Amino acid sequence: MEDRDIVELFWNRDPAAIRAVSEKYGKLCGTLARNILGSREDAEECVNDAFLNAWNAIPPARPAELAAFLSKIVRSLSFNRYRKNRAEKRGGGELPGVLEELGECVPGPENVERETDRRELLRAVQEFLDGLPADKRRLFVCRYWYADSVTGLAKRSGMTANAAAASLSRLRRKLRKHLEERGLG
Amino acid sequence: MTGKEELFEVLGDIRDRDILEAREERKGRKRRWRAAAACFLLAAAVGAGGLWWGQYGVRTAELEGGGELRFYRSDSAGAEQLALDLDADLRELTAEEIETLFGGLPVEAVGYFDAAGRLFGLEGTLGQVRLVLGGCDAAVEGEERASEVNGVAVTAGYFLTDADSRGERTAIYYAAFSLGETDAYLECAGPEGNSGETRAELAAAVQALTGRGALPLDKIRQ
Repeated sequence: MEDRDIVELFWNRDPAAIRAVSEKYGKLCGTLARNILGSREDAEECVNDAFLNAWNAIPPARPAELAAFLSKIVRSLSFNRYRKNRAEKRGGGELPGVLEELGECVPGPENVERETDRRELLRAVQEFLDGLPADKRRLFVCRYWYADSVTGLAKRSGMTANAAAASLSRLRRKLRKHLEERGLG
Repeated sequence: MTGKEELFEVLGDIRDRDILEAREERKGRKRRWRAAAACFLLAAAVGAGGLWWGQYGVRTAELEGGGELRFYRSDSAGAEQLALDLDADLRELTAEEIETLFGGLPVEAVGYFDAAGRLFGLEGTLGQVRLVLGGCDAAVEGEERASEVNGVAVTAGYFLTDADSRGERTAIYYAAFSLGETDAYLECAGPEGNSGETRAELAAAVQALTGRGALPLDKIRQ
């Protein structure tokens, strides 16, 4: 089913919308949630919550890119669940490793609570991504947005795991420098 | 929230197109990119009658001081990847080590060291050009397609990716040659619309490296 037809189902308050997104994007959302949480059960709950969130958001939203819209909700919910689980010392998936790596991009003591202008940070991060060649951007997003494992994304990219790790390491250094130059950290 | 958590969270709001672009990659449809730390076995699809200048698919880049580097279009099915045997320690090379190996060239690289602490390969960048040196076999078929740069036979090619979610195709240029005992593989990618610049950048990198001769990898130890 085309995305615009699925969005119409949401707008028409037709419960078939939930079934439609589940069929079309269930795997994408499930993989993303599992990457973050590690637990299939937690991931399924987050995905179900995400579809419900979408039901509540559409309307008034009319997302142009339904895959991205749903993925963002799943990612956000999964990360919130991860933080809750961590407090209870449960689960983790790829996220501990991903966060460890992202810690290299953040100047200053990594465990210090901080307040940053998030809009500035987002602008800087987007600027960084815009400046990357497409393959590097994809690699970065696969690891730090989708929380893909290094071995998984290396295999899909036709790289060895070590090469992917080295490439990601360089990208993190580049991002750190980019953020430092903009006084963010 | 800590800095790294905040960064992860903020990343959640990047543009949809970047998320979707990576999603296409994750779906693994029609591999658009075979760039790797591994070197490619370049299978030259030799046309009937041998080499013809101006043959469909041949692109060139001028070299400083005269001459040109010829890039032959590669069918993606004709390029196979060799996996590096990466039983190695990795670390970033220092500024002094880079100076020893490359003089004043703007290289950033991770070195691969064997069990005895000897540098046997490296992977990094020279400006916008990716490079892999050592530890691979840049075997080339079809020697008649080699250009000569600073007295070194260089085989170069390119291929075009499918259009991404923005409708853009990427041109990926690559070159393989030997510097003394060390095999070298260089690669540079850019939008098809700017492919002249991409070619020129790669050609300049090839010229810079071949001009330096053999690499003194043995001078670098873990």
